[in-house]
Amino acid sequence: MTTDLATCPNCNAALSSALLNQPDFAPCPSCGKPVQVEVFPALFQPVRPGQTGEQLLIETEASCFYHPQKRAVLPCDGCGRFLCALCDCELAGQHLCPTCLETGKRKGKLKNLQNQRTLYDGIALGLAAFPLIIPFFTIITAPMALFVALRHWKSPGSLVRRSKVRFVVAIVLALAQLIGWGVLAFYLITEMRRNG
Amino acid sequence: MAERDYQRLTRARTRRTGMRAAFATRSSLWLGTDHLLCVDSTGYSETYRRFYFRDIQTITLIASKRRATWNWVLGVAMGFCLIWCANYFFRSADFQLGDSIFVSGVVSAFALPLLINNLLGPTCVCHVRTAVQVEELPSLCRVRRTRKVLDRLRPLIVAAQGQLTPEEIERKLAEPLSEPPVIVRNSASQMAKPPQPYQGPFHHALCWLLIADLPLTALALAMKPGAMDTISVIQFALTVVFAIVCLAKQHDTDLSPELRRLPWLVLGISAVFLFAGIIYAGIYSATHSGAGRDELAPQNNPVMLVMAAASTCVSLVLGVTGLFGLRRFRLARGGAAAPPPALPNKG
Repeated sequence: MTTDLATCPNCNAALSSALLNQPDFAPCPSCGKPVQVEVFPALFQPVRPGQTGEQLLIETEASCFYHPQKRAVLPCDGCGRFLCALCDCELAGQHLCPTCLETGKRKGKLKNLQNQRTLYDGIALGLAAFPLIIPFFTIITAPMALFVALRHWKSPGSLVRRSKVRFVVAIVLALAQLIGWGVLAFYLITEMRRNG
Repeated sequence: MAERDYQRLTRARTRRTGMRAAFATRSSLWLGTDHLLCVDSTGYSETYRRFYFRDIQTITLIASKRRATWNWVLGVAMGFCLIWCANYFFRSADFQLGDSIFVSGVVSAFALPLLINNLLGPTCVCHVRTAVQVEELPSLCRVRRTRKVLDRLRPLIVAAQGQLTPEEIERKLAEPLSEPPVIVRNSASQMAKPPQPYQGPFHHALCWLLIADLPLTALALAMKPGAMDTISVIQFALTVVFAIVCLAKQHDTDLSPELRRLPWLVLGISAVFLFAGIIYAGIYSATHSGAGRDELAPQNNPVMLVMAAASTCVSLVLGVTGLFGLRRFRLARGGAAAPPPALPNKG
């Protein structure tokens, strides 16, 4: 933890204003390490106090769905319920109630709240490609790769990578491995039959 | 926000947060419409960290020595390769086209990364700070690339927050803080967990193992080839094992940076010598048909003798330096932890 506004990332010593927003590195006066610090106005903004919501003064006024004694300030963009200032959660321009926020996060509808995603295309490709080092395992892993690729073809993948090329490569590799096993089985059976 | 709105800012780089993550996690930076997205990917899952332009307080760069370290590692490896190539070139009577292709392949295995390391420019560590966190951005590890990214980010942050003049900065820094900010550091190097006092004999044992290389090598040279092979292999394996144990034991401790570097140096130098020895032995066996094992012994082979001597000297230097470093560290800690001297009794 630090209490200084602009500090050296190496020694945590406070930096003077002469060292801030410089175009090149400048040595830290405390540790001597070359540092460059870009400062923006958010550094000096005080933390905004949280809203608590106004008390309802007149009976006929609209009240919050979650706090009937507090005055509603706006409706939820997700469910339309009236919300007080305490329950209003703003996210990417939307005003949502805590329930909609929780549901949106759980169901993956609010992408700005998603902190993790499973890359099924990577898993399918790994299952199809890595066992090629020891090909005996492909009899188990090829069907698994095929299953993962087909089952999760439409599952949400990476937020930043949009191509399905890994799925396609995984399916092609898995099919090739399965065809290879089929050919081998056919060859062995015909050989066994020929030898009596 | 539409998913397609992200633009790639940097290629993926390894995130240095422990042994497992160093190999598994790769971090890249993407530009969204109103935020910067840091993506940590293992190949099978991705973790996202968003830094909204309106929340970014500072972006700090600190120059690092990574490029110099890699220059040393690759330069030493390439030096050994060049020595071996020169030896190979002057000794073999019929140096053919195939040989020259092979030799240039071996040299370029080190020369190419060395060239790329220098072409990419100086290295740095970049941190982004918001009201609640300080996060390292591992993909911004080269100064030139980082400045290009900063030039792209600056107008977006200024558009979200406004511009600060130097006079404003000076005035606001001079103002007393009404409420000190509480910052959580998430970078690998500055985790909130306090370091534990280092205890244990492993670094000491590693230093003595390194020093033991000198009498063992001298004994091996004095005896007939192959007589000391088993003991040398055991000593080498023990050194590597102890270096790995030292790396595990020194994690999150107050050990000095010089002593922390020792196991890494031991592992790196062991790998270089082992790799050089294997390559030389392979080439020698391929070029000298019917060559026996004894021909590769330091007693009979000048290249192996030079390698053995160099390895022993380096081990000795590291061992002695490590022992002195440990002594200094223990004395410094003992001095710091010692109770203050008692006041003279005037009564």
